[in-house]
Amino acid sequence: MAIEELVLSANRFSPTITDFINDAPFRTVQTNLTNLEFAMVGLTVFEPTNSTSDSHRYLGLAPKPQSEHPVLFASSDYSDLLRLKDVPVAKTPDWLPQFTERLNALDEAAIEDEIKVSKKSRKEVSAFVASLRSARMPTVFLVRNGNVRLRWSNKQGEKVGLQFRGNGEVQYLFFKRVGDKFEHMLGTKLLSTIMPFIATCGLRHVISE
Amino acid sequence: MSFVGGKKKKLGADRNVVRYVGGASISLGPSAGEFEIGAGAFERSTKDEDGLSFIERFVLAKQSKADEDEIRRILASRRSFGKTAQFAELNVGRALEALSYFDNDFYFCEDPLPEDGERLANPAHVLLIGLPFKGELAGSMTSELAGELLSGAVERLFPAMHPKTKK
Repeated sequence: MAIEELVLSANRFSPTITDFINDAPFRTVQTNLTNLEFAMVGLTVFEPTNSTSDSHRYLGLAPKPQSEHPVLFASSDYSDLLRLKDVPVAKTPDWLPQFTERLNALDEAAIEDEIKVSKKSRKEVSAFVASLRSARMPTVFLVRNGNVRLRWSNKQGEKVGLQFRGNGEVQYLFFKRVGDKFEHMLGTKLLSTIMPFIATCGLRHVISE
Repeated sequence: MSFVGGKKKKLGADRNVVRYVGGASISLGPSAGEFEIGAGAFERSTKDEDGLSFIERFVLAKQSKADEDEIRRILASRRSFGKTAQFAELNVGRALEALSYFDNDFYFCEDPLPEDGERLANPAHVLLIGLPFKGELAGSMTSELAGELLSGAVERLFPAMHPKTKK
């Protein structure tokens, strides 16, 4: 199969990554990870044509050109991310059936709580979680306005909350521990940029640990 | 009703209150049998008029289990319970501390409700004044932040439906 290899600026990666790619300026990898997950660590994925087979995806990787933080995390993050050897494609997260069951259960709760569920929000959430590979299963709630909200939290009290507005935007609310205090971050982002933004805010560990 | 100087009597920081939380704001947590409360639990529902409704603990009965049963009995005369609904218990002082992020003047005050037809009197009814934020729609950023801060202050949960009556 013809694989198009794309330029990878090796000198922008951590030493481990440089070792990992043997200083090669070009790299193609087989991986079961999603573009979003690569984006979380500042990598842009180029998917050449004719690059898929039944069991693998073949991707070219490059640092995200516009990223101010092309490498955000410890090298161990990359070893988790990049799997070069015959890793079968995991089409969906392991916990997706359990999550879907919980999402469906909210329909009944919505009737009890007199909430009209936003179908657009629900659809966005379903597509979003199906694209996650290296994240823990979030808790899922309905907001009174009918939107679906996901939340990850950890024992340190840090939280990543995402309300899916159904229009391609996500309303985010983050609690980030700094010493013995918390920083609160809230706002809106495009659905397509929320994952790299979580990483930029230094909260990737909350959803993946 | 209990008034002090024309104003409803505020609850002390040592008091505890519970809020009915419907299933839409409840999610199973990472451990079996463990629930998590979403920010929406503390947003205005159709039952909230002048503030967020709570019930003060140990007004209806002195013993914890008896008090829980009385809370269920009285609230069941005023609303239906969802199958997965819970009561979330918070300490007044710690709840207000959680809300101190905002500059607003929040307080819990007594707001006893009289008997009304089939609705039983609720002498333990309490309002959290200051929420919902005026002019804020449900799910807005600040409303969600307040709800998330309060959900972090929840100390315990107990089922809205008595475990023996659950189908």
